Amino acid sequence: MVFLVFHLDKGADLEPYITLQDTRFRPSIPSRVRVLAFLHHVMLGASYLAISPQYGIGSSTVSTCVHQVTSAILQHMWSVYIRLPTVEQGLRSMTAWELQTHIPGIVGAVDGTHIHIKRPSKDGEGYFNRKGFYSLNVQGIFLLVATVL
Amino acid sequence: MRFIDVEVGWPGSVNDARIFKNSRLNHSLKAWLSQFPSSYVTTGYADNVTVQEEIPAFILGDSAYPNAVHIVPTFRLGECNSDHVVAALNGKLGGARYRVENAFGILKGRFQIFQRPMNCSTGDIRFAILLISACFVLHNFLIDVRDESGEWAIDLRDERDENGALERDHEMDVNPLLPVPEATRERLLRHMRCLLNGDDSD
Repeated sequence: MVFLVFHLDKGADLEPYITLQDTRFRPSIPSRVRVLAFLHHVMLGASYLAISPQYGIGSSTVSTCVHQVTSAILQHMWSVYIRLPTVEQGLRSMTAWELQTHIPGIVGAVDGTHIHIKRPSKDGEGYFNRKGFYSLNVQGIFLLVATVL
Repeated sequence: MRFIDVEVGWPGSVNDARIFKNSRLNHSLKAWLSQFPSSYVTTGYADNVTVQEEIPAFILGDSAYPNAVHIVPTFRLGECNSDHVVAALNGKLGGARYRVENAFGILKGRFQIFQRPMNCSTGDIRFAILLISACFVLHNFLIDVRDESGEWAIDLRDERDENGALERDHEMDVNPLLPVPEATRERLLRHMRCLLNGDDSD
């Protein structure tokens, strides 16, 4: 996780978007702590209450950090990391699929999954799926090859 | 496995086919896939000339998805049991599918928040959607920063083709395209039937 924080700060240039200004009233929470609190929440699944004493910030501050980092990631990283591949990358994926299946022409694959959520207070019934729990349905399209140069 | 498009936010009661039909990608899918070259497969023999048909670039789905030109679904269990050619094609398609099923598993394992029902959805479902989207971005980001292992290169090498199915002869006659767009799966099925019949007669 610390490894990831370093890369998020340096590699993805997320730092300027989540750094807040120090004021005369008090210094701001460092951007690394914000990212770390966010990662603690998503990667370890810890609740805000559990994260709060770890970094010495209040649980509602943790909530603010998670919201801010989420929107910073979506604003500045979404279009960079989730995009259709170039023709060359697609062709590499096609070759990889063909060697594996002996069927030509497969560029990618599509699949869906259910993300388990608690019943939303508004229109809760709509989220009840055929498997018997409340969920959001997510559709993803993949390439077989992971790398993009 | 790298995500190239994600559609988050549909409630769990909506089925996969409907999400696909309404997804952003579906509108641009045809234009995007037409950039890639088509392949040609042997689908039969007529007067000692090999008949070949065009296979456009396509996306592989499971049996919930529609059967069309640019998307090839796997077969339902009932269809496989009735015909051994269908079962053989399905075996090949299914061989690739298991990796696809893993992709979401890897994501859910990496982000432990998905192991339990998400809390934030009770009050603010929109934030839950944003958080899930952010996790998909991070997933691709993680692939990029630590993917110097050449992990996928192993998959390219692991299987040599024993039937020579990859060495297609491009000088053969190519059938003119049928005027009505035909589901790509039907062509693959004819190719498979042709391959299997060839094996039987030998």
